Amino acid sequence: MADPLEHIINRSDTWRGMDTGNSTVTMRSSANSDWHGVGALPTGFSELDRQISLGGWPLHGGIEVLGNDNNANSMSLFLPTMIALSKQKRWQAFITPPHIPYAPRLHGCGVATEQILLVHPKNREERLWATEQAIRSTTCSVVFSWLGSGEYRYAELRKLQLAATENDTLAILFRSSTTEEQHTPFSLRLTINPHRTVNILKQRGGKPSGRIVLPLEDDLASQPQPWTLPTGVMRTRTGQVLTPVA
Amino acid sequence: MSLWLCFRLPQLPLECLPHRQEYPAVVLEHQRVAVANDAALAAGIKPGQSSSTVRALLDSPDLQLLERDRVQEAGALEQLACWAYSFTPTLERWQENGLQLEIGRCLKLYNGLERLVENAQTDLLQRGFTHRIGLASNRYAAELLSYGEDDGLHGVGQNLQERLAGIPLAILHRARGGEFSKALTSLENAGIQTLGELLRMPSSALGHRCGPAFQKWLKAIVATHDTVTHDFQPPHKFHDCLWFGFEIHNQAELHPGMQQLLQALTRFSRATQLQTTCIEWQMLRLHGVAETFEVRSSEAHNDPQRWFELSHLSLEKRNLGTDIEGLALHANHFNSQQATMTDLFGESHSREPLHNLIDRLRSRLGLQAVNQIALREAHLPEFSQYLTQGTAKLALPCKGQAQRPIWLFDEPNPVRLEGDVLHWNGPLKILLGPERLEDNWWLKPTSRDYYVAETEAGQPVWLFQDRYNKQWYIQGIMP
Repeated sequence: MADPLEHIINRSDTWRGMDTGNSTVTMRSSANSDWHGVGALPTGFSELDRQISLGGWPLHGGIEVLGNDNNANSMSLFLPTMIALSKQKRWQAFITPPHIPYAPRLHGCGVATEQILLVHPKNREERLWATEQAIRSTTCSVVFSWLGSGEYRYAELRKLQLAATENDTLAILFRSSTTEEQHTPFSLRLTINPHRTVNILKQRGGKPSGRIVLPLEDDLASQPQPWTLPTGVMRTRTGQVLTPVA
Repeated sequence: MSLWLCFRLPQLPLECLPHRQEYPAVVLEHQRVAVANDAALAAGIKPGQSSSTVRALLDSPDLQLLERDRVQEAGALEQLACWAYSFTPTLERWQENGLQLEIGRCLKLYNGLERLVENAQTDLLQRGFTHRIGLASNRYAAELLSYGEDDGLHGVGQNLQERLAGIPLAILHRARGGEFSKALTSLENAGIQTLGELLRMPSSALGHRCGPAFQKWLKAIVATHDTVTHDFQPPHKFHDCLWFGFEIHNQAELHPGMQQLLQALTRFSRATQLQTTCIEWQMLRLHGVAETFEVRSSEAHNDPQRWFELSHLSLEKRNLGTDIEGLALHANHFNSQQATMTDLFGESHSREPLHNLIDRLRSRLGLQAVNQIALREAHLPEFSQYLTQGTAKLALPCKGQAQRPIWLFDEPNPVRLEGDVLHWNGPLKILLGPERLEDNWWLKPTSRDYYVAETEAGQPVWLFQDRYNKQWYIQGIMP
């Protein structure tokens, strides 16, 4: 391949923003065209699977989840994924998690908690390094990394995205919703706000979605849900029910 | 027929002591020069001279006068014996500065004699030991031949008596630590100059003249077979060190040395069928240890590349001290080697072992930074799990966990009560509850009523009211 530009365009991880159709270069292998052949993992929510062009979480290229505070609320979106990945007997890495995952609950719904690896790097550089190591090593089925509200250069994020492209580790990066205006290298970018309402902002080879409200019955169908329990107690204001029993 | 390879280390008293190679160095014993390096020899210093002569010849601040240390010499020789154990189990320390290796049985393994000798010599030179070699069917002849001028490999297949014939008697004096000096001197006075002439003498006359012990020794020198009764037993610990001969200024200069020592560790553990989970590095100054650090692996192995990678990560976060001139590697605890099963057809063969990631992260971030979660049977949520740096055991069956959070706070977060409405990032709306959890009555009795509530943003949270102090706390986030 003589033309270096053509070479770059034909890389499977190069994404062309606009295809005018009269280009002289044949871009058979760029990300736009062959993206549909790449592996995906069902999200566990049928509506979400329908909206993602791949039919599930893209296994390559990384997923960016924007949220407020510390992104703790986004985790329930990935519970079915964690259950499904438990079969792989590889690590499920949590890098700088906002709290400690509550193992009895996770175990109760089928997550192999012995696969959970909690990593607490001290600073930003170590966090990036640990995230990249975890994604790059073939020992993780999924890497959750809470990058927080810090500023990250595009090159730093691109490095993580390249690492995620190279193997079948699902890379999920939580960032602050204040970064929404910034350019992102990742394959899929979504927000969760308000609770259980997903909005796909960008996806490779597909369109942004509208609001997708995740139905409760899709999630862990076999588990009884607290908010489906007796109506007598529900929706009551604090003071009315909570007279402490002496 | 046995084949013995003798390594004689004439400079061992000097080479086992830390010193600067580029400056003159002299090892003294009883105030006399025992060994001197090239720089000292060039200044006219010769073995046997007194210390005052040395000072007169070389009045320089760079002159290094070292006291002979036989303990160090024995230690260095022991280390070399461990090193040699990777070539053959049949070996012994010879005199005070030599090693004898029986290699007749392992030539095929090393693709021939030349290859084996070349490997061994390269290793020894890298370790900074000048040496002479001799090869013969018995240890005595091998040592004598190591005094020859050639490379030691010359004429190995030829008749032993012919090879020995040219050796002057003066060398035999040195060979047995002077045991037969008297007999040899009288033979020299009688006009016998070489070993060849000595061997041609009728044995009865020789026995009569020099005694049966001497005659027995001569027989041993020309023997075509020689063996030792016990194989070498390596120690259960690994210690090895390396002197660079110059000061280390940056970490990259340490890398070749680290790799070399790790190769030695691998050879040691391969030969002894042992593996370790922890190695210790020491940065050495000329006098004393500058810094020590441990490198751990969660899984015992003896892969030098993996150890190097982990050591490299640990080293990166350290400041290199000044005056570092040497490096030592210790491994004190070994387990017997585990046979590893390789899956021929499964997809797992393309993946690295699971523990590699933990080791790599811990080497850079520290042991505490990487944890697993283990479960414990307890009612109170904060006691029902704990973080561990060991391996998390398979979890106990957990039932009735549907109304439990997926995130647990490190500490319960106090909730404000305004009028009859609870506030935590806005007002909370109770969805479900209460569920009473009581425990810990033997220590500090705890009784809590747990509720599920919804924040203003619609996020369900898990909160409780302490029944003793009536305070409200949030303890986790529901899915």
